[in-house]
Amino acid sequence: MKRFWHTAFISMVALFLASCAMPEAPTRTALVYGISIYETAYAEGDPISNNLRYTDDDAKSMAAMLQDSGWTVKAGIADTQTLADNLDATRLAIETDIAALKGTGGVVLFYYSGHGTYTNYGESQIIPFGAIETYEDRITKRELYTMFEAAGLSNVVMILDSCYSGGFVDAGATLDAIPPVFGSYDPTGPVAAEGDIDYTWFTNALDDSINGYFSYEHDSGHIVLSAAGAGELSWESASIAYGAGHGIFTYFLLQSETDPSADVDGDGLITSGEAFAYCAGRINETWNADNFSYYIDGTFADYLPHLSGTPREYALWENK
Amino acid sequence: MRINLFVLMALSTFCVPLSAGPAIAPYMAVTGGMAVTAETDYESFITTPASSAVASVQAGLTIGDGLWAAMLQGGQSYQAATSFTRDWYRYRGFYSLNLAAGPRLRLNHLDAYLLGGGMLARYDLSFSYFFFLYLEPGLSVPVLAFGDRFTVNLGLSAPVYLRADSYSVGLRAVATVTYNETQKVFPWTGRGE
Repeated sequence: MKRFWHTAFISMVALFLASCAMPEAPTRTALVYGISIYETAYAEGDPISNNLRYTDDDAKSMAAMLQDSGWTVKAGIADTQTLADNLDATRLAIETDIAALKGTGGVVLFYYSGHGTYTNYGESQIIPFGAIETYEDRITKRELYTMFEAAGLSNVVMILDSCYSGGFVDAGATLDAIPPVFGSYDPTGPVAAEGDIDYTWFTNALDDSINGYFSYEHDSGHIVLSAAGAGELSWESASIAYGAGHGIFTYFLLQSETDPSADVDGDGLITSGEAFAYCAGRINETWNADNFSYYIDGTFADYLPHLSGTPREYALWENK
Repeated sequence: MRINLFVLMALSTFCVPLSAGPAIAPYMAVTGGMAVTAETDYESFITTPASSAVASVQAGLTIGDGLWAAMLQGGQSYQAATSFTRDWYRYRGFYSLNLAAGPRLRLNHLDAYLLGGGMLARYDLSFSYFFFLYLEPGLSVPVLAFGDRFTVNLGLSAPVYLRADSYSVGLRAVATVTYNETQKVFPWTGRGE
């Protein structure tokens, strides 16, 4: 009996010690896209055009932060009124960049800041440069997933700062309790469900969770962190409170690098889960508190990020 | 497949202890240990496993005092996020509530049991809820009797979490305090039987 206890204790200690070591960094490649100019006849943020103002700045800042944390970054920015200078942010460029990663292994981070929309069937899309009027050049969730799968990439994290980007998030074997349209002021919106967090009490989730367990078939395994729900707009602001020119979501992503409170477990790394929690909390405390009753384009301006229901989470960048 | 598993678990859980006697002994248990988690959804059947710490607090009833008894147990658990794998991912930690039942077999002073039940969990730092079935075989021995009615058991259990998209297998130390209807004394506690 004594030997049994001894062996059990030693096994537990060995397991614990093995869990403490951080492996050497894998190959990490980031594909970063920011599109502020969709119509080259107009300047950034021109209200009579579809151009945005800060999405290129989001991408440039994300690229710098990722590089700083050891990622190899390939960026595609569309921010000039010269068409030829924006071609590294088209659908073709995105497809080519992803396909070029075939066989590289490691971890791939895909970041996108720009317009998003949804199809007549309610499928969310991102809109690369050149696709504002060419619908077939927009990219749906299924198409984006297929691009990564065709390249044989299984360690993929996608971060999308665009409207309706929640449609790219796969809940997998879980239930996402954040509704596609968040906020008690949202009776309209393109997706039927709206309201506050679905489950007030932990056990309220039991019925739905049991149904989810028995009906679950497969999950892509891709981790998607979206700025907004499937029925929500994502916002940018010139306010100094949000970095004087960033998407709100991206601003808080960037802040997670330096705010110690973002590193919940104190290991010096921001994971996809910690990034989500930090952004969701900060957006709700700041932007949502100020704009929950601001109504525009058929919806209210409050929103929350969403995160895939995969069992995995990835270390994304350092907390300094 | 999962439905078959559930039926098998329910049968083994509820049928075997039918021979249990009427004595009821409530207990509280604390557990702590390690778990190893791996996924099933990627190209390989089992992906890189990773380990994490687990702990739980349980309350339950043992029904019967003979060779066979039945156990009914509920509580809450926490499985921490695992260590990072070589691709710098880890399996997320989660809180859970559990309810389980199963037979207990007493062999001399060694108790062997098999619990089967379900857990409702929520990933850390998220609003993602999920449910899964689990099995927990275990062994325990009484190490201490105090007062007229209380006994302390120490043991090991090896819970297996049958999550929809992954598996977790653990090894835990279990300390249980039981209130017994009749006085319990053991030779090694220094009091005559």
